[in-house]
Amino acid sequence: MVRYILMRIIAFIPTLFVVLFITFFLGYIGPVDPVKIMQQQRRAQGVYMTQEEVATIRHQLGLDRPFLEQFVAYVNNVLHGSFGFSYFDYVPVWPRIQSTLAVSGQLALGALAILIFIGIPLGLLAAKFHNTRIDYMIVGTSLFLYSIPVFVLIPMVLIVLVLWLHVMNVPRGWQGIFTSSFVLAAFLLSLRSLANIIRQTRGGVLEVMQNDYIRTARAKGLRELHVFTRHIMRNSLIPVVTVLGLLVDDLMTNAVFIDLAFNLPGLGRLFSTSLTSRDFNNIYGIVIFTSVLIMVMNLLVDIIYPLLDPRVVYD
Amino acid sequence: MATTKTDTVNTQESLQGQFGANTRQRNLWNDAFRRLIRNRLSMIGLIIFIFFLLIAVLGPVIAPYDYRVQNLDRVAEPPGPDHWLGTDDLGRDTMTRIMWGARTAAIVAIIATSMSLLLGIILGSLGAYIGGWMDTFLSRLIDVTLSIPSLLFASLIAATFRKPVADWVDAMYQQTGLSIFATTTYADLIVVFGALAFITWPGYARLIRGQILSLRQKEFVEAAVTVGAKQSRILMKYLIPNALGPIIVALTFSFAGAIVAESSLSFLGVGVQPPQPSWGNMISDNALSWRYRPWLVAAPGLTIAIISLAINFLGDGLNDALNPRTAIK
Repeated sequence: MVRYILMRIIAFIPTLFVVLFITFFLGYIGPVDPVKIMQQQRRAQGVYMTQEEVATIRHQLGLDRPFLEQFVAYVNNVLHGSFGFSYFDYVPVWPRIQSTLAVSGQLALGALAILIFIGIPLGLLAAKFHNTRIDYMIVGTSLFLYSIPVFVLIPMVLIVLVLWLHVMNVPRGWQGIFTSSFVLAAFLLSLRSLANIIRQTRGGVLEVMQNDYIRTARAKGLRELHVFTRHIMRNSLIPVVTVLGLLVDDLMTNAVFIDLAFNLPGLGRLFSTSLTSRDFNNIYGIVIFTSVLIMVMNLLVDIIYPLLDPRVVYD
Repeated sequence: MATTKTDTVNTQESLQGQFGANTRQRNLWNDAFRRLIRNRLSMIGLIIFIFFLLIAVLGPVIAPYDYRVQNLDRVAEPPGPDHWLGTDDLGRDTMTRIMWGARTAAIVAIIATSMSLLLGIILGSLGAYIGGWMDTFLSRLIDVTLSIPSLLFASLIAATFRKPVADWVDAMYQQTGLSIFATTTYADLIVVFGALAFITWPGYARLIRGQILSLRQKEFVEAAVTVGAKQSRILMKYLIPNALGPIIVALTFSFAGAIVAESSLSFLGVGVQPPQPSWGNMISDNALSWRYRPWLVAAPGLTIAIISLAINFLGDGLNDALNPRTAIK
């Protein structure tokens, strides 16, 4: 097992390298020339740069070197924990990403809590009462919430909660975790994965319930609670864990819109503002950081599998 | 399961009675079609989907106004008899823009999913047939692409390629003088197709590779090989019909996914650019006025919600109809 984990971590390196290459290549052919931006900024202040100055800056930033050399320099920087700096306000990228992580991390944990404490029980409930009205309601609602993009849902939820029911104010900015706006944000953040988890849990339980050993467990007189917790739950959690692999991607997609709508200083808002101003170094930083998160999550999923199912053995 | 069987047999008998013997054969597609029309939600989904396609084709003809024309006397009106869904902050008719948006959404969804399916079929079957280093390489490529966050990747691609593609379209216009190169709309669409195809192909490639690998080892394919069936017959009669079900289902779901993704990109400002209407940029244009003029956000929002929900219901029904063994009753 330790050997397997080590191998997987070593396998991160080429994957990460390709991710770095793709993002850097996109930036290289991309439309933004940092020196031009600098020129425009100086011109706005009334300073005109000479050709020599432009050439000097270009040389200092290493932009006059061939593509591969620039790429090697970038990889070298990333390996030293630096994603460069923004070409617009010269703030280093990595500290800026770090400063958003507290907010985004708390929101993600909130969403995870909702997934575990609401999503899995709802899935179990739907399976327990399958093909009844409760089941249809849970499955229908989850498919409904899965289908609708979150940027459509946000204004609609706000129209209902703020304009009709008057239960909360318009959520603006970060107000701590014990507020209605945090709960709403975390709930909206979790939606895509919530629908997935409900479906997977329900499907998993229904599939496991058809097995002979469940009938055996009932036949030998085990109480229904024990059958459910010992035999059904543990085996039906395997597909649920798979959803965790998609979690980071889903959360990140939703976070972009939620941070924007609620004005939360999280990773999603950093991404959308960087995208609007075409601040490419920030964008690469966020893309690479999130990719690493996805890889780590996939590794975690693969580590959890054999814990739930002893038949899964890695060589 | 037993009741379902007798049901189908009964229908078949009555049909045979009506139309004479052997007019309806029992095969995969007939069975699937019967199962599909019995599913009420998917039929509603199918009807809404067909309606959406009709609007996408006919919308510009039957739309009551011009999508660009501003009526400055009637800015930001609530829904009324003249403007069924109201007008926006610039005095443009919302319903007209939604109809044109349907065209944008349909074009993007059809072309982006076809491109991504084509890429998936080529790369997936290449990996499965050639195997060896090619398979390893393609599988790794799929892993890498899937480990890049999808929305972020798509918007990065869209942001990067917008200017080069726009320049190219402009150069084409200078050289050829063709009117289709005169606007940037096509450049926008090309960029969005590319971005969406690029993030969705790994799903198809993985699906098709898996299907080919698992079907080739099935007993009925081995049996066909043993009795000396030709390669082409095995491909046409055994491999494709069996692999088609899951692919059609995946196609349906990703159709909805593409509509949502297009509006997401347009919402973020890297998709279809104004004044060309897209449901996403209609929402983002009016996002700030949800409090005072909620219909401006609700109309395109509900449209996306209904279409996406309808297609997902259709996909669910197709899944139950085409893959009866994996569907949970």
